[in-house]
Amino acid sequence: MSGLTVENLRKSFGDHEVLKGVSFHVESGKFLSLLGPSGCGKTTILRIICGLETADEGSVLVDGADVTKIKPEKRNIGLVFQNYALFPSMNVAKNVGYGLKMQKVPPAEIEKRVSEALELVKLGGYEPRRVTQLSGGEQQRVALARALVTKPNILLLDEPLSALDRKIRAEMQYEIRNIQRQVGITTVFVTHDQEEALTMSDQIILLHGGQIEQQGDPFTIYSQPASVFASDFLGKANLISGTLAQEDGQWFISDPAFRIPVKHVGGREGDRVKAAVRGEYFEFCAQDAPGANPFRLEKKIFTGLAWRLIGRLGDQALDISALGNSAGTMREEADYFVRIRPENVVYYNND
Amino acid sequence: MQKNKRKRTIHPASLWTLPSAGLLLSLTIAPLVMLLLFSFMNRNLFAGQPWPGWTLGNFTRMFQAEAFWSLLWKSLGIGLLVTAICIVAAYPAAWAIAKVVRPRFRGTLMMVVILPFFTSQLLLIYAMMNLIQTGGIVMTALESLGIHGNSILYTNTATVLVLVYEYVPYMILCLYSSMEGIGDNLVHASHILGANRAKTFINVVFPMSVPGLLSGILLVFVPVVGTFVEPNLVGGSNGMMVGSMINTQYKDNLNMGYGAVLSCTLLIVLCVIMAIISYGARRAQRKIGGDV
Repeated sequence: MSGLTVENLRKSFGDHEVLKGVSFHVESGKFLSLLGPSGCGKTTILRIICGLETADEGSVLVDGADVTKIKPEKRNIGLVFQNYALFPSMNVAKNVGYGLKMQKVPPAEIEKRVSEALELVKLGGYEPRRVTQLSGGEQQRVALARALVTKPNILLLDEPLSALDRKIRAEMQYEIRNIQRQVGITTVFVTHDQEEALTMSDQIILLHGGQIEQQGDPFTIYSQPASVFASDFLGKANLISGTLAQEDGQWFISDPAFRIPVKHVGGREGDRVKAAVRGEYFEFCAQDAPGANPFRLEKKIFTGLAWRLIGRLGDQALDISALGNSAGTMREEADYFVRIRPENVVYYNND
Repeated sequence: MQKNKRKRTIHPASLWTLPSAGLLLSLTIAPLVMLLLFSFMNRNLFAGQPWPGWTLGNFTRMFQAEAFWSLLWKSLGIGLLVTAICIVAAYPAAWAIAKVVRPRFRGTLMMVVILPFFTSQLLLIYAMMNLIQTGGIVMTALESLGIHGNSILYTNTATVLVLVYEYVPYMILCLYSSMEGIGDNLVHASHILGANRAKTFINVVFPMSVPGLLSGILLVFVPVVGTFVEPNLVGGSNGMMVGSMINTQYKDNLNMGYGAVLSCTLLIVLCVIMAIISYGARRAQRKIGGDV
């Protein structure tokens, strides 16, 4: 089986169980993001894959071969560290060529491959520069070139963008993804930034408390969060409590003040449930339109891309985002009506 | 109309540098100049004799004095040996304190390293003499193991041992200060790129520790070559070093001029050697790290 396979990883530090049995597989050439809040175990997984940490249980397979017991220097894995970890005593060329030198590649070939790798990350001609004099973005590129130049089987990225400012970060997201496709390398990317994970990945694994919370492609993960945690972590959905009800075959989440249509995926009438609805899925409508629910607008905030409309649905807080002009004329402390399509609502049983 | 009032201030920089410049002038530059002047004087200016007059005689005497040159070579040899032993002993110790032990033990270990500084140098020497003398703990222990022989006390070996004992903390402190700045990630990155421990040490740790290493060599090599206390106390009848000879010129022979010439020569030789060592270290660093 080609690609990277992780089987039932368990790890404890003292009494604290960091990984509680994590298994996943990344197809060869795909880009997987491990997404989760700090302390969810994502970095530990990365360190186990590259051998800097040993798992208490479980195994790591690269292209079908078990590497769990192999030392990090023999694994041929490329890793980009959060703070780049460039060797300050070496210039750019020596940094990038370090892995090749360790593989005893002849100097002439090292020089050639280093310059190719630097071209790849758009730093051609940077060979004699001092790494300490490069900008954050440039250091990032050098680190990427250093990780790729040895043609590793797997590329691991440990929150490599978190130290960059917003604009360069967006540029590097695109750049890294582009290079990854070009090289066709199996990649695992660790991040706590949901936007980063959504824009860059083929697959996302959402981790929570050392376990996989949800796994899927970015669109599914965003639109069909599998749990309250998932809906809250990815894009901060509205959580609305209500009772499951049915009328003429259509299911609702109802409350004295509103009724939200849903697709029935389980549960019986009268069950207390929580619905997750993203703010951008609400649609303003007339009072007599089908499915209209009263919305009290309390505060509106302009965020650039959209208006953020904070208010109440009955007695529950609701945060709606509305694009463009429509919201510009809306007044605070006024009543409006909103509706939503059932396919945009997911609900969970109250625990 | 508002009058442009110029504020009267003394330019602060020149004022603030006065104390340090004064210290440097009176404690470093002035003595060096005096040393240089004395080397061109006959005999002793402060011995109550009439003005001695200028001469080059001290220099001719030095170039003919075989004892001086052989003592100089011997002292440089001992200096290099002691420095080398200190480097070999201090690298693992500094690495352990900076990187291996848990941070909360770091303070305690540093305390252990600097503990000898709380005692006078003479006490350290006498303590070591006590340990290695005939009938001392070390000899008794060796004898009980069936190993018989003479104590190394009053030999050149004892001088080297005592010097290493006295100077190894300086080397540890210097290397530690450099190694503290080497992030764990750099070591991990090196491993992941395929380097084992030895290669990681040569390519990553060593170049980053060069500044500490050079100051360590300076703090150990220079005073060791010029020392006279240890050889006089533990070196025995063949223990003399060049420092002992210079000391004799000042203290016993009251020949300040000759002593000054020997001191100047030693100083110049040490400067040249330090320059060579530092050039070599930088070159090694550049070889590993590439030109910039």
